[in-house]
Amino acid sequence: MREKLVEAKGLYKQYALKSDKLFAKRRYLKAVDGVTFDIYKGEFFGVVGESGCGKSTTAKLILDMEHPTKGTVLFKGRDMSTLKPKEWRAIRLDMQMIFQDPLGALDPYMCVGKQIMEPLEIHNIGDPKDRKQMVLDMLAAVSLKPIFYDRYPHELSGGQRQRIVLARALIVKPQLLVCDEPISALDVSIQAQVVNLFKRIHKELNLTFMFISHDLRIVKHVCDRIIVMYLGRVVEEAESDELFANTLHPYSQALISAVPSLTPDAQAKRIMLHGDPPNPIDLPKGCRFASRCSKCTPRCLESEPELVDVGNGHKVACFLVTGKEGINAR
Amino acid sequence: MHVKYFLVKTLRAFITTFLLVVFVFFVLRITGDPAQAMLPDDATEEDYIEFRQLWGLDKPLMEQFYVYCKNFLHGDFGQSYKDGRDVFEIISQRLPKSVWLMGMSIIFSIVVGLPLGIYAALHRNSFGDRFIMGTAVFGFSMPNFFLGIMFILIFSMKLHWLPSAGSDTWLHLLMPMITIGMTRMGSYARYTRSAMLNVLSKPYIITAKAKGANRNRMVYLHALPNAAIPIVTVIGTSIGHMVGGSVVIENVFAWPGIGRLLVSSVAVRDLPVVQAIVIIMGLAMVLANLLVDFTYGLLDPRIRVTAGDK
Amino acid sequence: MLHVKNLKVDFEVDGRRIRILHGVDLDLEEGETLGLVGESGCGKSVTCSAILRILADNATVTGEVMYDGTDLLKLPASKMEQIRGKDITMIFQDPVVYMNPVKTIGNQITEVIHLHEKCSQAEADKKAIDLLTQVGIPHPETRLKYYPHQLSGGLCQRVMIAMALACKPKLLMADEPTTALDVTVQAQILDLLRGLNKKLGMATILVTHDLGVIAENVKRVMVMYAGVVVEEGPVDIIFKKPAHPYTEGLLNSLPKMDGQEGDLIPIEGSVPAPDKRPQGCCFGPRCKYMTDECLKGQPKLTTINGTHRCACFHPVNGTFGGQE
Repeated sequence: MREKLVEAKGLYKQYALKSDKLFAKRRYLKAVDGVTFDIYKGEFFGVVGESGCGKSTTAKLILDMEHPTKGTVLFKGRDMSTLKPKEWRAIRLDMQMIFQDPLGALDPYMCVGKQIMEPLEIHNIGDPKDRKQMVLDMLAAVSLKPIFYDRYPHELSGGQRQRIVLARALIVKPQLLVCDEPISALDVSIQAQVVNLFKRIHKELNLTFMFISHDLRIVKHVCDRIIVMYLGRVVEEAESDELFANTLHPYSQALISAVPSLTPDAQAKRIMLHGDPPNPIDLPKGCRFASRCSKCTPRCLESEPELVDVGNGHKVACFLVTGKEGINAR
Repeated sequence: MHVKYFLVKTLRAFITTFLLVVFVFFVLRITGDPAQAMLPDDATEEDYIEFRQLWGLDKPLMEQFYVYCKNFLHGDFGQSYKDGRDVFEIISQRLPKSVWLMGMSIIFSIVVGLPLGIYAALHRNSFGDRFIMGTAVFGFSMPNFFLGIMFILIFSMKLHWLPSAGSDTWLHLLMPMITIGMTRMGSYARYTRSAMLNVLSKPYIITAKAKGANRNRMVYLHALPNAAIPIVTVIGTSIGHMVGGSVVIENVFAWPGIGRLLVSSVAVRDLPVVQAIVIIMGLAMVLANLLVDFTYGLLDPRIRVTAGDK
Repeated sequence: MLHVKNLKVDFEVDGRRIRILHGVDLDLEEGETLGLVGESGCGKSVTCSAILRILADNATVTGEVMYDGTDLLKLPASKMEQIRGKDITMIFQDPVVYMNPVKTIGNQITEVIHLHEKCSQAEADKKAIDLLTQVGIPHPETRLKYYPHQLSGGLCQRVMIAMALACKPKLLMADEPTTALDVTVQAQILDLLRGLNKKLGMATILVTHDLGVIAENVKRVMVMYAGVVVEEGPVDIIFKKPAHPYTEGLLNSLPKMDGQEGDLIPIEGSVPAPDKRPQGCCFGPRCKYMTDECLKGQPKLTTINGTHRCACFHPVNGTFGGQE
């Protein structure tokens, strides 16, 4: 039985909204609306979805950067919200995060070597005498020469900066690395370099990745298991090969078919979605994808389908596939 | 859609005014005894008691406050300790003069400062830009009373072009108006320049150009409405400074407004008058800020209308 | 219709003059679709902005931009303003920031109409509603009063397209129009553009870094690198048999949707800064086929086959990753 590193159970996160009407009822933005999944140790776990699906909020909940409105997050079996501050800091060291904009993540006034060293100083890791060498080792691990130690962020290219951010995250030897759109801001030819680096780190350090991206091509290439999110919920979950070979949920099908491809007939087979996603503030009754789904049935408008395992760890939330109804939580 | 925004701002204005009245009332009474200031040195104990009874100063503070508020709401601001005249009457004689001076000064600052700022932004780093910015710095670094006195020296005493005291004619208005306006004009020019430069570098200006808009259209129809937002904010906050500065300038130019009255009343501890003037000045600032908030809401749809319909 | 010759663009930065575009030639016939593809710093956006003459004041543009027989670069400003928005229009990346936040979208659309045609406000409003319907925006009458911040990215881009089409242009330049949008929205927008191109017979220049987008939406492509066109020709030929090492490298470094095991093959190194160009061929330092000959100078575009041209001293007979 594989060991679970992260368990997200029934996560909800909503934000209260200010209204510009005088006596309006309180409205809520349901960023994450009932999300459950597990990440196994050593896995390269992918989260895909478009803007507004809640993937970034989910990442923040996993990292305990925000508290869920409902639900729990277990890391190595421990409930993050019940930890005392000291324990929390210790556990938090095991989770690190990198974001989309490497320039924004780096201090422009400090040389990058010192920035990589900073986590060691903050958490009092290692002997101060050895720390510089640890940094140099880390630079080598991300394929940067020692000369980069004294450089400043503005002197580096986008790909190099992202490597620095990665080095800084890895130097504390975390068990989980959460990446939120880490390569979207990079040039295409550089993306390949950084993706290969991720794969190598994943293998060499047996590091668990939670990889959030809207770019399905990259996700297909690197991830072992993937969840597809739509408007705050998981609509499909499967091993990577299985998901692309046997896509079950209509949204996942549309999403995958929408990716522009170099193969000539991809355009003809494309599933076009109509309209825009409904407002996450006033979600309609029933399946939240119903308004854009070409296979919508009356039942789909009545109640919300639950995520059901249809075999091989492949889970789908769709009546047409599972026939199983969920409790209408609204 | 907009109602809530405007109502909230108005409510805040009311609360601020109330707090202002409370503050003024108590501070003035705590800081000194009016009886001592008003009565001559050889006054007897009985004179003091009589004075206090006359003006209700022997009653407890809270009761005095209650009486004051009641009268305030009826438009009765009390009588002057100095000559017994109705405060309301005294002030209403002089208030229009101050409002006139302040109003003209603000208009002067805006009418001169904004176009200069726009010119500087459009001709960035040119001689004109540098000259305007230099003058602007001069404008707000110079203490305004010094500037006033300088003007009097040059234009009244040396050249005999302008009168140095009083408020009867247009010529009387010129120097005090420019003196008060100079400081603000300089800062408005600077803020306008930076707001314009900021907005002119935004992507939607390029879109306007790509649509076939000419330079004037891009500047005045696209950039300026956006730049107006921070500029209006700056104008609003500076009105307070101007009100304060006007007290000094009215004295320098012997302008018969409430600024001069304030100074002379403080000297003799004429409480009711001082109180009323300070409250009016505070009220002016509250109103000015409220006006700015309203204008802000009108100029920027992102404030009036939320993005809820996405 | 459009013939660009030797287009060069310099920027003046901190007193130094830096060349961004090093002599680009571009030919476009009526109704044609052309793609400009390349990574950051390659000059694809600058090329379009230079044609429309909307670059910042510190840019110097030289060369020839012949549109219907007139050199646009030599036109006085007032005449150029008549062409912009009417004959040649442009839409941009990230539509929300490219729209004026304090004006309603109705106002922004009718502005284009009023700039180039004489009509009343009521007529202009009606045209605006028609345009919004054409670009697939539901409830156009109510949307006229909306502000940009009230609309999603996809809707804003449709509005921008409506603005661009208002005066029935002959050429639409789309600068990364879908890069900032979700992939399903991207599919919708590109589908819309393709449809409009066919229906209106409007020529399109599509600028993007996404090779997949190019493959599906244009017939001809120009691959750019560091301010130079390194390869151009029909899309289906170039993407199957690239001749330039850069194109080959780009194609191989992409993860494909249709299965590929093993590591991606990146192009080592990174794009040179505009003021630090290498000696000789601009792609040389990153090219795995580089020889001493490549240091001689920047190679010119030479014909490989028909309209397929390549700027390389020894073009490769590339196969793209073995995938067909």
